[in-house]
Amino acid sequence: METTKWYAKRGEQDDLVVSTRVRLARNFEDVPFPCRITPSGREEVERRVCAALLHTGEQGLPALGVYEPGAIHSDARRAMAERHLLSREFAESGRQRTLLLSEDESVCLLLCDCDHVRLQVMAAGLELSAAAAAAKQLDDLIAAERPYAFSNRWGYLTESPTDLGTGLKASVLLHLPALEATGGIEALAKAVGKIGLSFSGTFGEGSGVSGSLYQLSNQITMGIEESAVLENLRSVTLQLIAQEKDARKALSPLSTEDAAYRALGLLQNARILTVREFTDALSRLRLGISMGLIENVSLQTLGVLNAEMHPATLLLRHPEADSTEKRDAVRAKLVREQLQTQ
Amino acid sequence: MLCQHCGARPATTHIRRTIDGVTEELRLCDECAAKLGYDQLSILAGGLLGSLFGTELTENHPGPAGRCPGCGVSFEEIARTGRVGCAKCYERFADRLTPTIEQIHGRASYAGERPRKKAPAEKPADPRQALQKKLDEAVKAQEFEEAARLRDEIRKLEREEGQQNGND
Ligand SMILES: [Zn+2]
Ligand SMILES: [Zn+2]
Repeated sequence: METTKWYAKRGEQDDLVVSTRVRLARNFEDVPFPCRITPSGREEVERRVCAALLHTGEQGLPALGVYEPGAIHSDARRAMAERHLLSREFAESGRQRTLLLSEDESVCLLLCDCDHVRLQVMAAGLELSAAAAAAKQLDDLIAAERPYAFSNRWGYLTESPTDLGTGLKASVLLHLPALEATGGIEALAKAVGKIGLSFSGTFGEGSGVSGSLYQLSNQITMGIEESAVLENLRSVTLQLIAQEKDARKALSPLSTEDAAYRALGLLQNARILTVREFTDALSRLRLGISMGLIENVSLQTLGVLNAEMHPATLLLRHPEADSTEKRDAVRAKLVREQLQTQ
Repeated sequence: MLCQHCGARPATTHIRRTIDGVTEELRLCDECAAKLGYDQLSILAGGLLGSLFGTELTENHPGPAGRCPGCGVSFEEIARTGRVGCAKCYERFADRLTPTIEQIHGRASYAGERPRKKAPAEKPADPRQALQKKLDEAVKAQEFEEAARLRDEIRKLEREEGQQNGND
């Protein structure tokens, strides 16, 4: 049986917070950074990280699989970028790197790309402290293997001086359809910018914010403790949730319910579903579920649909869907199946 | 090619800057580059924040003295690419990196957690072994006073250990 992926699990406030991500950038003190590294240095970094994380499965953490450079072909890399495991930039580049990945996809380490170690933990819902704790546990295991590049003045030393400090980037992905509809987003982006956070829409194919999803993340890595960064992020997230809920009160309940059921009807019946249609419908359905207007669709199902119906991920599992038209048909079929098994 | 400013010394620095959409290219010698304010600080800022300043450095060949002992990178290369070569670069080029780092991160110093240290070895090393080694060296060097002192210290340790074991 397949392991349950992280996005098919529940988390705090998971009707509004789709996911949480915590990333750490780390380097060893005695090996040149990736821009100056030699093949033997690369091997050494890989050996150390693999040795440190060999038994994570027995230490209350997910077991990690090691993928050598080239083991993951370009289509699979694109699919991983869709599921936020890799950056789109890395997926599109030809750069071949070693990856460590857990079966539930909650933990991913990219070695010797921008830094020796880029460690990422993901979770469904607003789970900053849980994700940060898992990241810290993995981080400690690696640090126990060999000392990190660290200075009292600048913290963790990184290849790019812009990443100096804690090396911590935390973010949450929020569903904010009512704030978007009432035009409050721009003012919010400005306000959170002033307190060291960044707020941006996630853009899909074509123009406009995809599915009313917005990412909130920390900008500052210097002069602030990790715990304070996470607390700030959490408290601003809770404020955004409160504002979104306020904005929802202004929506007409009947038209919101109508929109949610129309979206459900589309997803349950369509024979062709473009990415755009699918993303919009999923957003209206999520709003309906969150407001208690639709009860027979679970947030886990939504999580799975959100993660697995994008083009590269679809193509990977259904190689026969080798054109946009074919994928739109396969998407419609898979979505119907998912929503029937409720 | 000679410096476009003084026309006397060879040009070692290539600067490209864009002001209000007009791109200007300059080939300068080290002295003129410094005099005109294209010192390494502004060049570093240009490399890191190239899109902001539009300044680029493309030629410069410092000798081994100008390079990081850890990875061999020169400050000019760091400035050009915005990429630091290794942990030692941050010490070697601290004075020249600091202004840019402060420009990016402000003057606040690091306040986060420290990396976890490597787990201590299972058993602390036996202090008697170190003393015994020193004693052997003292005997070899015919420093008998020192040797006698070390021998007394070893005996004292042995006595203390005997007492501790007796209490168990
Ligand atoms: Zn000159
Ligand atoms: Zn170096």
